[in-house]
Amino acid sequence: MKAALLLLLLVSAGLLFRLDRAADRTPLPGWKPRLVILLCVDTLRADHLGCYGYPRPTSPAIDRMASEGVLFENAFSQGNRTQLSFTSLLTGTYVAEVRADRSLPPDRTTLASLLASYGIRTLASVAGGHLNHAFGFNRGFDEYEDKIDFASFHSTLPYAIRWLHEVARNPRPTFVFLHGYDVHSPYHKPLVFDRMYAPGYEGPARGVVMSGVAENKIWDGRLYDETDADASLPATRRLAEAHAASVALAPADVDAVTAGYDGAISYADLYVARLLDEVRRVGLERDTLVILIGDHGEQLLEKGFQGHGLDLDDRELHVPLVMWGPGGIAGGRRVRDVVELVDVFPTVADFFAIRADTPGTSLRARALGLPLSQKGPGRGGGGSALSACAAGRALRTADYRLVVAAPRQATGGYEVVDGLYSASDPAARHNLIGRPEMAAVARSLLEELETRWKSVAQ
Amino acid sequence: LRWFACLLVALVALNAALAVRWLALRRAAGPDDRQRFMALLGKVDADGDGRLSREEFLRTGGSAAEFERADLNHDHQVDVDELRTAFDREDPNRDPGQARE
Repeated sequence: MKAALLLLLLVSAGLLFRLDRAADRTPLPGWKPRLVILLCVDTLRADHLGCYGYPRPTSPAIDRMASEGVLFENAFSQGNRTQLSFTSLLTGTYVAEVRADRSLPPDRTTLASLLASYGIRTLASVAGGHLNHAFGFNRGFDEYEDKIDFASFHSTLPYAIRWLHEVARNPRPTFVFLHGYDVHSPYHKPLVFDRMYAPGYEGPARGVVMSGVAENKIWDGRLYDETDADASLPATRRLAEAHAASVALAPADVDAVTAGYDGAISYADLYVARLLDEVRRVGLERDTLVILIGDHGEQLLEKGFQGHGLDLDDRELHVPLVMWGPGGIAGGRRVRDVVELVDVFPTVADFFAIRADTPGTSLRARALGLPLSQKGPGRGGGGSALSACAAGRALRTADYRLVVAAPRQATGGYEVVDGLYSASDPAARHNLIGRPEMAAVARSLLEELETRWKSVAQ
Repeated sequence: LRWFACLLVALVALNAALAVRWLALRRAAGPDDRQRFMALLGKVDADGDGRLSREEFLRTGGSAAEFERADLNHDHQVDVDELRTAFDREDPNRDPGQARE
C-alpha cells in the first residue's frame, strides 16, 4: 500500500512538472533569445500562404507559426532577384545593382560580420546557386554550408538540426541562416506535390513549366518552346516562326502553373514544420527566435508571364515576414505597417542587444508589442518600401506603388515609365498615372522616392 | 486505513485530471509529423480509403518509379507511413543550372 502511494506521488510530481513546462507560454518582457534563425524560403510569395489569406491550404505549418508569433502583413523585398535581395538584406543597405562578377560588395559590413564581432556564433546552411560562397555571401560566417547548388531544405535542414543540438548544449548566442530553393522554378517535387492541387492535369504546362526549365519561356500568355531556328534567317522571320510554334495557354494551363507553385510551397512547409519540431524537441523553444521570409516573389501569369526579375510589382516584391519566438512574442498579432527586408539586419542585431548603423528600422519593438523606440534614418515618415532593379526603382506605401525608370545618367532625374498603381491592384494591371486626380499623389510619391533613394542608396 | 484509502483515491483522481490537462496541452501544441502526413495524404486520396493507389499517386504528380520505391510492402498501395518514409528518401535536389534567377 505504501509503495502504491509513493508511486502515485511520484507520478503526480512528474505530471505537474510536464504540465508546468507545457503550460509555460507566457512571453517574457525584455526577452533576449539565445538563438536567432533566419529562415528563407526562396521565391515565396506572401499571398500564397494561408496566413496571408490564400484559400488553398498550402502552408499549415507556416500558418501555425504565424498564429503563435507575429505576422507582418506588408513586408516588401528590396529586389526581385535572389542576389539583389540578399545583397541588400545581408548588408542592411539598399542596392540597385549587383556587380558584374556578382560579388557581395567587399566594403560593406555584413550581418554575420557584425554579429561575429560581438562573439556570436554565425552559421549558414544555404542552397548554393546564387548564394554560393564564391559570391561573397559567406563573409562573417563561422561555417557556411552550400555544397549543393539550387538545393532543397532536404539538404540544408540537416545542418541546422545538427547545430540546434550544439546550441542546446552550449550557451553561446548563435545566429543561423537557413535557406532552400524548394519554391523556385522548376516547381517539380518528388511524390505527390506537382499536381496535388491540379490532379490529372496533362496539358502543355505540365512537362515544361512544372517539370522543366520554362522560366521566361512564357510571354503574353503563350508558351514558347526551344526552336532550332536557322540563324541565317532575318530576326523578324525567326520571331514569326517562334510565335507560330508557340501555344496559347488556356485558363486550365494557367491554373496548373499556379498549382505547381502551390504544391512546392506545401513541400517546403513540411520542412518548416520539422525545423520548429526540432527546436521544441531540443528544449530551445523559449530561447529561439525564428524569422521566416521570402527573398522575392514570383509572377504566375497574372500579366501573361511567369518567373521573377521581370517587374517591380507586388507579385515579385510582397514577401512573407513572420517571427516566432514563444519565449518573448505573444502569439496571433499582425502588424499592418509597411516594412522592408532591409529591416531584418537591424532587427536581428537588436534581438542580440547590438545596435546596427544601417538605414533600416529594427522591428523588435513591433514584434514584442512594445512602443516603437527606434527609427532608421532611411525610413519615410509614413512607412514605405524602396525596391530596385537595374532598370527601375519602386516605392510602395500602404496605399500605392510607384514604378519609375532608373535615373538618367545625365541629369540624375527619374522618369515615370511604368506607372502608379493602387495597393489593391497587386498585379499592377490598372495604371493610374494618367488620371488628373492622381497627379498630386504621383508627384508626392516621386518626391519621396527621390529623397529616400538619394539618402540611402549606395 | 480509511484515511489512507481516501488519500489514495484523491491521488488517483488528481493524476487523471493532470493527465487529461497535459494531453489537452499537447494537442494545442499542434500536429506531430505523422499527423501532418495524414493531412497531406487526405488532400490527394481521391477515394478516401486512407491509402494511395497507383492511379491516385500518378494523378497527383508522382512517377511510377517513385510509387514502386514508396510501396515498401508491395501491396500496390502507399499508406501514410510509406508516404512519410518516401518523403525522407526521395532527394529533390535538382540538376544544378536548372534554377535561374
